[in-house]
Amino acid sequence: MTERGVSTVLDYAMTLAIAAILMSALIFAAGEFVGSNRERVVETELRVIGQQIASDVQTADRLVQANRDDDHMKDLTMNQSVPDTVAGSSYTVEVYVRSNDEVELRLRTTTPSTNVTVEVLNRTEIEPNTLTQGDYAITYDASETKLEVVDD
Amino acid sequence: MANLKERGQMILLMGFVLAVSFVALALILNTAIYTENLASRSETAGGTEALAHRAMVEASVGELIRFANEENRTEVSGGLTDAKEYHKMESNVSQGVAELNESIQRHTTASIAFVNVSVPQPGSDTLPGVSNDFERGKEIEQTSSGGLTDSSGTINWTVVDNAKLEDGINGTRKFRMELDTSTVPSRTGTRIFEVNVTEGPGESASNFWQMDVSENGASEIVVRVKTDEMSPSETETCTRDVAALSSTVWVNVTDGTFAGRPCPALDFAEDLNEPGLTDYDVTFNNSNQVEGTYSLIANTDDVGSNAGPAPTVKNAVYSTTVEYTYVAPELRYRTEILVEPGEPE
Repeated sequence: MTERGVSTVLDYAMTLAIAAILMSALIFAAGEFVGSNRERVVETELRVIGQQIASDVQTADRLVQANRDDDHMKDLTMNQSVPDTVAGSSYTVEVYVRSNDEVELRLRTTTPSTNVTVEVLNRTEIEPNTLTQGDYAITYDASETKLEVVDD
Repeated sequence: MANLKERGQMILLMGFVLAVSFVALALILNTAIYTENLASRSETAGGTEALAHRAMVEASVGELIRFANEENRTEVSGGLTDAKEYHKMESNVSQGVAELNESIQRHTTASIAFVNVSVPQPGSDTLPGVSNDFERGKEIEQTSSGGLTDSSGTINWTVVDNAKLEDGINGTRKFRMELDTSTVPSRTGTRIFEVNVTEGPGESASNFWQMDVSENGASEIVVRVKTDEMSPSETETCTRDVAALSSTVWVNVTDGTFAGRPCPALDFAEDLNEPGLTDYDVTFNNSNQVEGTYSLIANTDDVGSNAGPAPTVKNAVYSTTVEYTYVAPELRYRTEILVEPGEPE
């Protein structure tokens, strides 16, 4: 009897423990899976958004460079938009100017922490700035002969 | 039974947590699909259309100027003052641009964007009367084959005096020569036909662009270019086999082609864009050494000042500036287009 009683309690406790371990392992694995996918998606999306912005900046650059002389350019405004958030997290786009013809877009999210860099091929100078939302405008500053990428 | 119930609850809880995870996963993957879709979209602002229309406007206005220079002038033979002749040519270009604008608007407003081309104002028909929208110039032309001397036979002479150089844009265009291949002198001879681009007599000689045409002794015609940026012994050349040419050979100086094919060495007035340099001269040296025809348009009054019957000098519209506006829902683009037909970008 005593043995059986011990056995039943032990059996029950062990079953519970094993079930708990199994369940938490499964839940942990599922969480990890979702988390890693989210990170991957965020990175892909940032890259796509970066390339969209870069392509718009390059279009603006072409519109400016079509002129034989900077003085001819009177006005250029291009309004564009990209999603405000990527997989639920907000992000920033930094227009980083390494040198006049080496410009990068650095896209960042904090949760999950992701960094993506996209190169811009340009001939017109670009003013450094940081974008914090999805609607943006590319304008030309005739007095400084520079392109600006700003929140709209 | 109590045990069974508890176990059932845990499995249920686990199932619920897993279900939530998979829903989250589905949402995230959905975002990915949306993004990939975004990536496949082409440029949406309309910059490409704006550029295409711009190029079309530039080409059309260029044709209007070319037509005015070639055709309109013949209608005003004799008796007209320079100012009246310029006024007539400019008015014709202006009228053409107005018609062009009307037809562009008819085709674009309904569909994609609002496109407008400003109509350049012609200068008045009395001197000076120069309009801001037009630049007046002269065309020098030798239409019948012969030595490239001026009318009094001077062999070293100034074809263009003080062509204006503004913001690195040079002041001569449509410069081309058709030379008789049999008359091109051998390089071993001391005197070879040269085109010199310099700051002019009495000014700094440190800026120059020089081109000469000769035969190299191997039955090939050579266009040789020298500039102040090269070391004294260095030259850039383009060579064409005489046997492959007809009796004449085209040297298109502005377009940079020689015998119809691109010649990278031929980059007119390359390296002449020093800061502070505002004008330059074009001179022909040893111009009796070769025979042929040529023409060029310059943005100055002082073209071929000694020219008589051959070569001839005529009034010509050098360039015009129109304002081009393109307004689409996501793009506003306004710029001035400087139209100089025959001038590569």
